[in-house]
Amino acid sequence: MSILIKGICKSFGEQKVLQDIDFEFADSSVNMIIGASGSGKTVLAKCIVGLLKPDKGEIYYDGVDFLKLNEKELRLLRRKIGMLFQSSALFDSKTVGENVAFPLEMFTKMSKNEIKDRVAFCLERVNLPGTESKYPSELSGGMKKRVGIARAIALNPKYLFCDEPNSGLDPKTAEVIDHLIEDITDEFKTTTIVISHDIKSVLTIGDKILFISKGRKEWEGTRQEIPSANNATLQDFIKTSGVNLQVIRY
Amino acid sequence: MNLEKYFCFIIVLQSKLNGSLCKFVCMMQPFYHIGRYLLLLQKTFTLTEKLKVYLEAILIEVVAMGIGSVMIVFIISLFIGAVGTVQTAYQISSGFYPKTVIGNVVSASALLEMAPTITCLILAGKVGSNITSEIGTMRVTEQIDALEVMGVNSASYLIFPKIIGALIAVPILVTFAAFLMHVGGILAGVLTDIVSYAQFTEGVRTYTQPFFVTFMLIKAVSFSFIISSISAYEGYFVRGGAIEVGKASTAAVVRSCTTIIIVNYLLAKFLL
Repeated sequence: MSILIKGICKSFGEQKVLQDIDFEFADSSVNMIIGASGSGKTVLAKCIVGLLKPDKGEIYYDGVDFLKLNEKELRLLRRKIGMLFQSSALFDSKTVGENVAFPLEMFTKMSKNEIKDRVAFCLERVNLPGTESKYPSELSGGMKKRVGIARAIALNPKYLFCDEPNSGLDPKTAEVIDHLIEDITDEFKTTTIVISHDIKSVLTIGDKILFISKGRKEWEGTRQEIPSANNATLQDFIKTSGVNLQVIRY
Repeated sequence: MNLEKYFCFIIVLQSKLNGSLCKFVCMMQPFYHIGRYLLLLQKTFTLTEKLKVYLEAILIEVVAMGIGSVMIVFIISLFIGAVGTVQTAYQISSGFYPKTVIGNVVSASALLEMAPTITCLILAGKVGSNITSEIGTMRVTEQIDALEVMGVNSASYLIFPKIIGALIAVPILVTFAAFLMHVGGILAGVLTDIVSYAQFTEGVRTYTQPFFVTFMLIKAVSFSFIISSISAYEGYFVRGGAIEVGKASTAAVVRSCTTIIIVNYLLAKFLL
């Protein structure tokens, strides 16, 4: 059991952004929601974490109906969720250390020393040791993403959401972030959901893939099944991304 | 109640309809904002985090709002008091009225009107726009979304300390302003030989009632709530980017000032 979504629909005014999306995210693996820009990936992720309310459909976290939870239950469930935002969404008035320590200070009874150790561990885990005193404005895009991941994993979340984790990054840094997400998923056994349009990272780390186009589910499968997928929209998406499927190792 | 749907419905209607129906929908907009404002207040006062978190944040807000506004309140209040003395002296220059009237007029106007209203109108510009831009920037940079995903009640975490901070800091500032207006009045009177210290204080002691102070504090508390909550509302629901945050700050100042003026009249009408 993990996250299950059934018949998710979402519209903004007359614009239908998501139409009848069903999918079951695999436990302890990297699940990827892929699609072109504007296809509804981020809206779907925001619906799953409860930042947007779907017009129709059901969302289950380990069998629990997410949309029927009251405010208190919702907050408790959300403490099991870590999320890396597209813009990193770091608190810019807090230092890196304070950002990572924030969920620990809010939701645990850890002492100051324990929090300090945990912050150091999380930053070490994302290869940013000793950056506690820096402010987000002093970091590069890749470093901000890594601090975002460190903050997301601080509470040992069961579910990790990453919205476009390597957008705006150079290929080398994007690869580092991809492998970091993969390693964290293996190490902490999280159910990771990555929203991406980067087909290279999909083919590198995606265990289970949901491809959406114009708000509709077009295809689902594993990365190994992508080359043989009998879906013209997906093949067209891969072709236009310029990735040569022959040279990718699965 | 799905407010998001209602909002979209209004936008679609506005884009499609002309004439009286569109005007009707536009007329309903204030009710939409009042409803959303009340729901935000409900969420704000639903405290879900550790008490320590709120106490620390309240202290920070009190210091930021209070200490940060002392200088502007000091200068403005001193000169308002001074102007009050000079202008009252001009009005009674015929000699028909005793000079103690100057102390009475300056004191009564300071306590009943100038200290609470003028100080809060200034604070609506200084503190209010600061609250809106701070919360609005957090909204457009997804920091509020990040708080929500973590399971933090973003409204109570961000807005509650600001409202309580304002409820503590603003009445202190208003009291300070009232004191300085008296000082300014005395200084202007004594230094320019308009009125002596004894005449001024006699006027204050003779005519000023203790209820004036109570009324001033009631106004200060009401206005501080208006400034902090309206500014927070404008920032919390901002959509877009930097330009929209700027527009929201302007809107917050305009709406806070308008509401202060209306509530000022209502308080005067019902309490005096």
